Formats: sequence, structure tokens, C-alpha cells
Amino acid sequence: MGINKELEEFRLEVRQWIRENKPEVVGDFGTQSYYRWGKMLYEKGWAVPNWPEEYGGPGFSPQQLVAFQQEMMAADAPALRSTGVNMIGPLIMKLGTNWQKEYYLPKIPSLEHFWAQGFSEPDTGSDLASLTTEAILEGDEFVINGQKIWTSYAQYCNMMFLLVRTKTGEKKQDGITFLLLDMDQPGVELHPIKLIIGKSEFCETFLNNARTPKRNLLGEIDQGWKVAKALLANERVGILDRPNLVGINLERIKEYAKKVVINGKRLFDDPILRRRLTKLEMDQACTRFTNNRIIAALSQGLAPGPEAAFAKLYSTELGKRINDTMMGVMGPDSQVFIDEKSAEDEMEISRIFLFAYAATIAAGSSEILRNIISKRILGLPSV
Amino acid sequence: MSYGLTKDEELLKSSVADFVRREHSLERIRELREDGWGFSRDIWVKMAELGWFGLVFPEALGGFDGTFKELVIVTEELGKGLMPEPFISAVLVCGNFILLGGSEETKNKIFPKMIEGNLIMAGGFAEMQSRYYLNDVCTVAKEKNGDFIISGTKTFVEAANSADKFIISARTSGGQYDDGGITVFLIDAESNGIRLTPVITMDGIRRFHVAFDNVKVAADKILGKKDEGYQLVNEVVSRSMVGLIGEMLGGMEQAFDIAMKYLKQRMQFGRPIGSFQAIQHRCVDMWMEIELSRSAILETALQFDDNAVSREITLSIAKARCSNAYKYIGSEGIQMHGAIGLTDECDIGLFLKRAKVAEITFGDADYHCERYEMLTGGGEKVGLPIK
Repeated sequence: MGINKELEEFRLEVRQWIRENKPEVVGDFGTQSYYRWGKMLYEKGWAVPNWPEEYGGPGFSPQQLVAFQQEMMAADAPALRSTGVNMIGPLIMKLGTNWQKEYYLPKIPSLEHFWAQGFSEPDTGSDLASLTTEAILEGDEFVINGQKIWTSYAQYCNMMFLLVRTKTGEKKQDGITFLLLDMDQPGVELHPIKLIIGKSEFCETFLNNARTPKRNLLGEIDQGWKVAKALLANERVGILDRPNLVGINLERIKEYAKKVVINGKRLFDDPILRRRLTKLEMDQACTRFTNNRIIAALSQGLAPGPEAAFAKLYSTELGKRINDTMMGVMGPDSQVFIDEKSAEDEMEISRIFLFAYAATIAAGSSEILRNIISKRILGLPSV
Repeated sequence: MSYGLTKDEELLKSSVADFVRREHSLERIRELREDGWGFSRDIWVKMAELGWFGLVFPEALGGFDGTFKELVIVTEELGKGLMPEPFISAVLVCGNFILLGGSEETKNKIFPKMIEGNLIMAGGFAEMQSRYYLNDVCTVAKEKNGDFIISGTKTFVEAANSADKFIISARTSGGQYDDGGITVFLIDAESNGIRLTPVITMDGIRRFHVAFDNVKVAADKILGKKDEGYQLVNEVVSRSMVGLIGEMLGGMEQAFDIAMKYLKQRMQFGRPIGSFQAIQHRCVDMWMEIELSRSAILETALQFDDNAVSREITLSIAKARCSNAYKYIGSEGIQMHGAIGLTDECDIGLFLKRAKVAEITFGDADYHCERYEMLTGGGEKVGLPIK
């Protein structure tokens, strides 16, 4: 009982702090409001909630961490970018040298470093291990040549972790190396890619004799594939507990449908729409119930079971279905693409609808995730 | 609330699994089709000896004060084997009718026998026209000289031929669709005027239409209160449904397992058909449905244990999901087997057949969507009340 009460108090503290401090709208990475909010989290000591105290985290217990994340989500308060907080940070803690830990880790919560992920290449989408960007060790430096693509928000990042080929082995997974790279150098050139949403969330990154010192090698040379696999597992877990991440809040759809009157009848009272919403609500409830299983395991400090493997796959696909329903409810208004009256930080529904496709492609496309589950969990044979 | 299994729960799970493996095989489902009883009295008594019939009932009545979570663990394992014994209808439905509606005397008389497996009851609350709506009751009970005279027909009643007692809903006042005016009666199977018509149903479980023709029942055989039986029926159905969804989970897991084994072993074009991506991705979707069902079932059981305000909503979410998922896995399972899946000899078909019956037991997915809408506000009224 005592523990529960303490946890409840902690939860209320978080809730109150968010309520008192969070600006009404926090925009995407790259907007002013995002940095302001990030700074506040840093000053409060909550910028890297999943990190232990020795690396500058708040040292939350598993239960506290879950409660913290739930409160953040409930308040629509974004966490700092997961590339730093959930991906490279924990990876450096696990595999990094002392120098890497001391130099890189503090700069993540303090917003000095924003990390980009340099994995995909133009000819290397889901087949990641076929990458060809090459690094040659010259003295104490790796010299890197090649091209990365879909580097999310690279234009706002100053550091990149990337996979490069250091050896051509028998197996394509051999000879890959995991490097850390300062992006602020002449050998790194960015070309933002204009997306169907009209904005540029991704870049092409050209590496022409880009240089990084040997101390920026993470793990062992030629053994980067193992490092990458550990990282991708983290990335997928990072997304799983956000069933609303890519989908419009269903409550928002209901509110909208209650306001719309068609031929004298509230749209919300249309039984066909209502049934469509019911099915989505039920699907979303089941993802929430699945999250409860995952959270229960995490709260006890246990690794979640196989249910964690499909949460990203299912919830991102569900998000697309939910968005489509919102478009339908909005009817003619759904086609608005850019509204001059909207705040800088706000995205039109049509663009949210389009951007949601990124979630079912990035971090393991739905198809790749099905491949992984069928092989690793169901044990179905490969060809 | 605990999502994982405790040591005791693990033990319970493996003891039920062992029992099903030891006493039962899917072959028995086929054999029992020819058997007049539809299930084995021997196995029934053995199940009773393991204490399962008292699991969710109070200790004071000889039960074990178990949880809904434990109930789901038991029915899941029974569901894996498609056990034909009428645990849900005779024990969960009828036992809960007695528990929630019976007088102290009735409870004390019935529970020990039921828990020992020596008294079988059959519950009837559906009629030809009522589909899943528990308020739609045409069977009438007319008061006469302090007794009730019951006339009408209850449909698809399980274990009616083995029953010592019937528990049915009948109308004592009001119109056909009224919530009020429904009364639940406990009726001796020996009573004059009861006629059984067997119905062969697709899952092989024996069901009967039970006609009551001026059957006389004493007033003290009312369960609950006169005219207020609707609430009682709802509560009983909800509690029993928690058991049913557990059974459905077990069934879908087993059906999936059978399909997976086949996919790994069946060779075509020189490779196991489970190595084809067109098959693999469908398997992952089936597996996800099982896991989502499991999450919903676990959540329902925990909410029933906590008597949470949202428990009825969660129950409808779970039943809607399971109704679709079990059927989907059975159906994909047959398709993946190819022609052999259409033979009676192949086990996968047994699961689709059971899935289809379980789907419509206590309401299908459409019904539970409607019920969900009613419970969460804004929808049309359906049969069940808000908790």
C-alpha cells in the first residue's frame, strides 16, 4: 500500500508540473516551442527519464518511468527525440567507451547534441545489411564515402550514428561498422527531401570524405551489425507504447462528429459512422490492454513477452485507419492542405493523414516486422 | 492487478492441461456425435473431483472463492481440447443463477451436489425469436393458486437430456420486449409437460429445444425476485461469458498450433509451405489476433475480479474480438490446410465449427458492438443494462 501511495503522489507531481509548465502547443522537432519545452524538461531533470542517475537521468523506478510516460502522453507532451534518449544514449551506456560516455551522454539531455540516424541508403531500404557506404581507416581517422537517405530531421541534428562498410565479407552482415560522426563538417552535405506532406522531415545525406576519429567507433570494427540489431530492438520498443502516436485522437473525431450537422441530423448519430468508430475504439482498447501487459512486465523489471513485438506493427496500421475515418468525418474540409491561419506548430489533418504512412515504413516496415515475427516468434521456415 | 501468472495459477493451468491430455482427445468429439448423451458422465465426475465446479463459488457453499482470472485459466485449457462437457452452461450459468438468485435453502441444497458433479442443470434463456436479446421473452408463467403455470419453448439448451433441473426465464408480466416482468424459475426436470427436441448443432455438442406445456412450478422455485429476473439473467450471462471467452482463447491457440505444425511439415514445390511469405504474413496477422484477444480477456477477468465500473464495456470488447478472431483463425486454418482441411478426419475443421457456435453464444460481434455503443452512451438500447 505504501508503495502505491508513493507512486500515486509521484504521478500527481508529474501531472501538476506538466500542467503548470507545458505550453499549450509543442511543435515538432525544429520548432521554437519544441526547444523551449526540451529546455524545461532538462532543467527539471526529466529530459532523459529512462536513464539511470549515474548518466544524468532521474533514476526512476520502472513503475515511476511507466507512470511518467503515461502522464506525458495523457498531456500530449512530447518527449525528447528518441534517437538520442532511447537509441544512441542507452547504446553508448551499454557498449560505449568511458570517453564516449563522458563526452556524449551529458549532451543529449542538455540539447547540445541532436542525433540523426544514418542507416538507410538509396539502394538499401528494408535490406539494411546490403549497405555500401564505405569507411577506410586512415591513421587515427575513418574516412567515409557514400550516401544515406531518409535521415529524419537531419537538418536539425548535429550528430549522426551510422552504419558503414569496412570490409566486404562472405556474408553481407559481416564487415559493417557502427560509427559516431560530427555532422558539422564539409564532408557532410544535406539535401532535405520534400515529402507528400509538403514539408521535409527527411534528408539525403551525402558523405564525401567525411572524417571521424577512431574513438568514435562504437563496439568493434566489422561487428556493427550486432550493435545495430540491439539498437533497432530499442527503436521498436520506443514506439510501442504510443497507440495515439500516428492516429488522431478518437475523442477528437467524436467531438467533431457531434458538431457536424448533415441534412438536419448530427453526423455522430449516423449508425454507420458510429459503428465504424466503435470498431476503431475497440481495436484501440485492445492495444491499450496489450500495453497493460507490457507495462506490467516492465514495472516488475521484467522483459515484456512477444506481445511487445507486434505493438508497433498493429498500432501504426491502426493509426492510419483512424486518420482515414477522421478525414471521412471532416468531409469536404478534409482536403485543406495548408491553412494560413493555423499556427506554425499545427499540422492540418490531411497532412497528419499522409505523414502516418511514415510510421508503417520507418523503423521496420510492417512487412519487415511480419517477416521478423514469423521467423523468430512463430518459427516458420525460411526459404 | 496482476497480468502475469502466479505460481498457483501456473499450477492450476498445468493441472487442467494434464487432465485434458490424459482424459480427452479430439477423437472423442467425433465419437460423441453417435453418443446419446453428448458428453461423458465419467469425465464430468472427474472434473468435479478436481474441484473445478466450485472454483468461482464461495467457500461457505463448498466452493473455492476463486478468481475470474483463474476461471479463464481453466476454460482456456478446456478450450484447447474442445472439451464437450457442459462446464459453462451447467456450472457457470446455472451455478450463478443459484448463487445470485437462490434462497439460502436452495443454495445449500444444490451447491454441494453440483460441485460434486452429481447434479446437472440446464439453463434456457433464448427463444426462437429472441436471438441474443435477453429481454425478448415470450414464454409465459401464469400465477394460479399460488403456483406458476409455464408455457413456451426455450431453444438450444445444452445438456437438457442430462439435466436434473432446468433454469429458465419466463414472462410474468409486461410485453414481449419489456425488461420488467421477467422471472427466473428453477424447474424439476421430472415435471409433467416438458418435451425435448434434439438439435444437431455444428460443433457436435448436444443441444435441445425444450418445450414447456403448462408445467406447474411452485412459487418458492423463483430465483431472484418476481418480475425482476432480467437483471439476474444479465449478471449470470456476463459472468459466464468471462468463462466462454477464455475457452475461445484456448480454441484459437490450439487451432493456430495445428495450422503452424502443418505449415512447417507440408511440402510443395520442394519446400515447406510455411516458408512462403504469402502464408507467413497471414500467420502473423492470426497470431496478433490471438494476442489482442488474450489482452482483452485478461483485462476483462481482472476487471471482473475488481468489479470495475468498466467491466461490462471491456467484456463486450473482448467478446466482439474473440468472436471474430476464433472464427478467423479457424477459417484461415482450413484454407492453409488446403483440401485436407475439408475432411472430417482433419482436426482443424473441428475448431472452425466450435468457433462459429462460440461466436453466437451470448451474442456475436455485431451484437457486442451494439451493446458497447449502448454502454458508452449515444447508441440505441440493447438488451443489457449499464453496470
